[in-house]
Amino acid sequence: MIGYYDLIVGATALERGSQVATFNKRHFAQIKDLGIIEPK
Amino acid sequence: MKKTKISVTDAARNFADCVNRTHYQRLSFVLVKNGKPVAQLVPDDEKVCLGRDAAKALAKVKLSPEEAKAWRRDLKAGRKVLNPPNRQMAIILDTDVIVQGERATFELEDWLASRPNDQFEVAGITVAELWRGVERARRPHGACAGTLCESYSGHVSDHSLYRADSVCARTDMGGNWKLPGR
Repeated sequence: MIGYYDLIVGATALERGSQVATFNKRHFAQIKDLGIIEPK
Repeated sequence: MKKTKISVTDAARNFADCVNRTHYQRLSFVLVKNGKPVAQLVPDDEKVCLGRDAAKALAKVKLSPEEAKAWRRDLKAGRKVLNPPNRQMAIILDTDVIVQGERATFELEDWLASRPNDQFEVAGITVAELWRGVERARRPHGACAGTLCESYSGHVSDHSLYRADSVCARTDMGGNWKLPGR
């Protein structure tokens, strides 16, 4: 289940038209239309 | 009206010619710097509507509450579909990326450097999380994390972290307001 903080970060990204760089792709993937980058 | 792209350097070298062509041939020039439009040279009498012109005109209009509501709704919908020209899609760094960078389990600085064309941002909630960690730390590591927070705030605050967010993030740490746990 996605955490509160992640939800806020995801909502911030959606509102600003940004992507999120995270190692926690599984959780953020639950947010529809959110662009996710997994740093390598 | 025809718009011609021209580099800032070429425009500067041929400025008088550009002005003459703008005035007599009714041409408009788009000045380009590093491949991106930065300014325009347009005939003096060409009507250019700026945001402030629109605001001035709207201030004179008396709308009924229903009309105002509909206008606000349309404006909101319009903003959603409107992509500002050349707006770069920024990347928000999640807390785990910053923390792993601090713990040296991930080469964050190298990764950031490997993406020179990207703009990075940090959400206010992430700064709050980091400061929360600093406040809770009771070992020397806390001081290091504090330095890290300052360091990242310094890197990002000029262009990508709302000042108010930064202040609120710190204020929240010292206040009674508690963030829900993960």
